[in-house]
Amino acid sequence: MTTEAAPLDTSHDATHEEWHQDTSFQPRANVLGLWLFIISEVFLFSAFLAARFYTTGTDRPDDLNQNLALAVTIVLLISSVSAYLAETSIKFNNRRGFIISLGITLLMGMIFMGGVTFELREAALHFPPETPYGSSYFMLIGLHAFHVVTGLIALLIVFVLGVRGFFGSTNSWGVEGAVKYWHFVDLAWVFIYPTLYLL
Amino acid sequence: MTTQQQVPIDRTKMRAAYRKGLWGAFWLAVLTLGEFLVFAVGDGTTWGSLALIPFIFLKAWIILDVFMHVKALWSPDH
Amino acid sequence: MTMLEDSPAQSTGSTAQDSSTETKPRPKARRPFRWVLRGVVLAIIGWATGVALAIAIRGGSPTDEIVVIVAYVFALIGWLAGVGGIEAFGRQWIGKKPQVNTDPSWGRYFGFSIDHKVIGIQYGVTLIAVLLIGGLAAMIMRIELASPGVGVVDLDDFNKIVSMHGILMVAVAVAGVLGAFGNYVVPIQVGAQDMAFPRINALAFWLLPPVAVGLLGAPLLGSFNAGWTAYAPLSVVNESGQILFNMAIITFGLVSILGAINIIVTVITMRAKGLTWGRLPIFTWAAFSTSLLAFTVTQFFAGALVLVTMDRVVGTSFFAPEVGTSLLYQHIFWFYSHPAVYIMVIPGFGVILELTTTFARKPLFAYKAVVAAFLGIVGLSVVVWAHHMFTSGMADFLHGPFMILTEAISIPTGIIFLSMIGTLWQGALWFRTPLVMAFGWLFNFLIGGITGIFLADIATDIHLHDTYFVVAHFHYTIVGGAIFALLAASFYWFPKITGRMYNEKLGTLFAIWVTVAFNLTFIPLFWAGMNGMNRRIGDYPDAYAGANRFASFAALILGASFLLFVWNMLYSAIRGPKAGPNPWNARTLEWLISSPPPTHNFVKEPVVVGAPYDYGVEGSVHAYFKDPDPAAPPEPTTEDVSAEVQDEALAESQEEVS
Ligand code: HEM
Ligand SMILES: [Cu+2]
Repeated sequence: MTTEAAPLDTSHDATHEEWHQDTSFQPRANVLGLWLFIISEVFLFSAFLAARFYTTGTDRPDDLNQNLALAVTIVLLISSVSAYLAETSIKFNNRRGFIISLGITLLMGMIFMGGVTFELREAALHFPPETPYGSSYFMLIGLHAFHVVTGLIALLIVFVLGVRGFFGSTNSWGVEGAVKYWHFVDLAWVFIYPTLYLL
Repeated sequence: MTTQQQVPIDRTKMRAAYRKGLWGAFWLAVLTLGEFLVFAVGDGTTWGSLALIPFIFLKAWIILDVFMHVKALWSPDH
Repeated sequence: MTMLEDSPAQSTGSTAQDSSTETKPRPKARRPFRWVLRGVVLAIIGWATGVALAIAIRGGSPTDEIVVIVAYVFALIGWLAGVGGIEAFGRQWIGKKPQVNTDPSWGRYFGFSIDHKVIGIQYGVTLIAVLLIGGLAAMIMRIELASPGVGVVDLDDFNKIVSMHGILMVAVAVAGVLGAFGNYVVPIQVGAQDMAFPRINALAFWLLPPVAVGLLGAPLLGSFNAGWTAYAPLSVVNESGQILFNMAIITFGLVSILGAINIIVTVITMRAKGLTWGRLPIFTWAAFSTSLLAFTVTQFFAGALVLVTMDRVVGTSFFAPEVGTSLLYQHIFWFYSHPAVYIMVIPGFGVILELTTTFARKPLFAYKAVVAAFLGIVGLSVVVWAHHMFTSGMADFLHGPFMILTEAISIPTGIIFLSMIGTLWQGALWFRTPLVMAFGWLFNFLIGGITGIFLADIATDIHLHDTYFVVAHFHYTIVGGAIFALLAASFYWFPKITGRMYNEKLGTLFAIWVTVAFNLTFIPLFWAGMNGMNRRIGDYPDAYAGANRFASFAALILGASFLLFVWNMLYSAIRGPKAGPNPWNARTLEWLISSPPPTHNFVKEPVVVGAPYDYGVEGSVHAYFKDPDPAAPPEPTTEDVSAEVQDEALAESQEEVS
């Protein structure tokens, strides 16, 4: 067996020179971690979208409430813009703009949830979950609604902290994270809406 | 509680950033309506469904690029 | 105070290292179980609240499935809050600084510690315990199968035991090497002081006990009998234990995903200076590649189980025979579960190659090709899933492509074999337990791989599908490939983790014993399978009696070998001789620091300057430690911290992190 002189560092004594890893990686790590989580979620949504096409192809019943669907789509779009404005505001230290925009996002998110709840009730009458299309419908809307609710909770926490004066241009990761997640919720809807309503 | 530094707001840059987002939203709205129009005309036909695809991917790209800053992932100085 | 600081991101002072030096008295544990106890209490309260809430809203009884789901979610939240989530996350949501457990005594293993080394050990011990419970189930099955006819368990219970055994073991194989050694070793090998997200790392671990409790508690609701695969439509109509299975496995998916993201981000953003991708230790490459699979495809298992759950409680009809199709379940399920076999085995490849090069005292043969092979496997493994469905009635035109793609995977897998053999070739083999285990691994995985070809081939698979041939094959790959690697890794890193040496004689004896007994158990099952013996049935025709009696006998011997393993580990961890920092004379970073490593892994900054495995190459160096920059202002010293202050800090054992 060959032996190399391995350079060992086995000092046990407490010295004040102990190395501490530079923390500059953390912002990059946070963003990367969130993106990976979003990619992971994309896989879940694709599984469900695939299931919709696998079981029902591109079929869709005639009694879908198209007007309501278009309305909630626009509402979600508005919430996404205002989320963008909130994030931009806090990055420029515009606290007032931040609070107002985030408030609008929350409001729009809740209106969206209200619309979806109404839609689900109607759907249960026209194409209940027992039907093939109903299965896909309840699955996709349910999955998306679950993400809307978690996104709203995150935004609410950020909102309350923001009102109490927590964020600023140098400390905006909490806002950025919640807002990015919210945009992802919107992104998912971009695929789900045509899949269920327009094909 | 975090102490906020008193950084003066760079209003020109901020407005530019706002404007970028609003333009993104504008195009998203246009595409959404376009999509709806395609649906209204094509209503369930094969070409109608296929015509939706570019709308979907354009919208997705706008959200990724404008709202989510996806490009910042590969150009960190973004 | 600072001595208890555990956050890599914000350590204010210096610390004495937790090290093996006997000169420091061991800190005493104070109320070490209070966090777990608080978790259990809050979980019970959560369960009760969930039941009450669900019944208040829609009536029904506490065993209704929807009620169980709500109760499970509440209990899970209660548990997480109780074990430390309130301090680690909740405080931050109301604007306070989060806190984590920094108890320096052994009590830290029972709290919400964010030290990746503690978390690695927590995973390791938990999963070995699950492995032993699953093994017990295997023993019961083998006793039942020792002779034809119904013996100790009736046929319905047999199905439930098979299912329980299967899912427990799959969980161990998926999370074993990655959870225990991925957490413990990867940050050190990349020269980092912790994971990128230490608190999420802790969260991921603390999600694991609910998984075990959920699965093992399922018999209270009638257990589950649909196998670990939970194939619909049986999993839609069987007893309510299936709901607990679904919830537990969805939770387990979260463990995998959070853990995998953490490893990926750590490897990408936290590598030491000079640690280029081409110098990354092979185990880290393996953990990284595996994580790429785990954080994506795992969602499909969760998705499939969500659909099953919806069919059960919402009344959807995905898998209802008249309206839906059970093929949907199989596609979604195998889109996860085929890659899952590589999630189980790629970390094993990493372990085996890592220790082969160390004990052969030679550079790793074809390092770059191995990395390419890992990534190739990751890519290919997501396009072969339907080879599990050749007899399922899916469209005919899919058969050919899936067969060919599957067989293509044997190319990258073969490269890993070649690398191992090339490394051993003409090496100065140093026979220590890990290397003996590695030889056992080589033999087993060879058989597992070759028999796999017959299952990938449509013509032979149609005959062999769902027989004991399959059972023997996947035991050769999963046990032979993943569990053997887990055991080998346990020996290899034992001195690093505990600071003590295991008993070499008992270790070698175990390695030989387990290899021989394992082969004796499963070789006869190939024969039984080829002759048509069905899997997952507690009874069989008399023609297979001989092979089964033999297998059952050997299985008991196999089971007994684990007593030796556990004894060796436990006894040596407490009484074993001091191992020193680098008993294997290895070169990667974890061996260049003391055993066990100090709290923050590195006292001086590691700088990587060369390849990791240039054993025997004159003058080669992998890494050195940089002396601190004299120009930097000295940090405040804590040497004068008085005994009382330390004591106070111990009592608190909670420290703020940023
Ligand atoms: C002590 C060694 C073991 C013995 C004697 C043993 C024995 C068995 C037996 C008899 C079955 C039932 C086969 C059937 O009827 O289809 C089985 C199934 C299974 N075993 Fe093991 N086993 C052992 C260890 C393991 C380990 C370590 C793993 C994985 C890490 C594992 C994974 C599985 C899986 C996934 C199944 C399939 C369960 C199902 O069909 O749902 N086993 N085992
Ligand atoms: Cu497979």
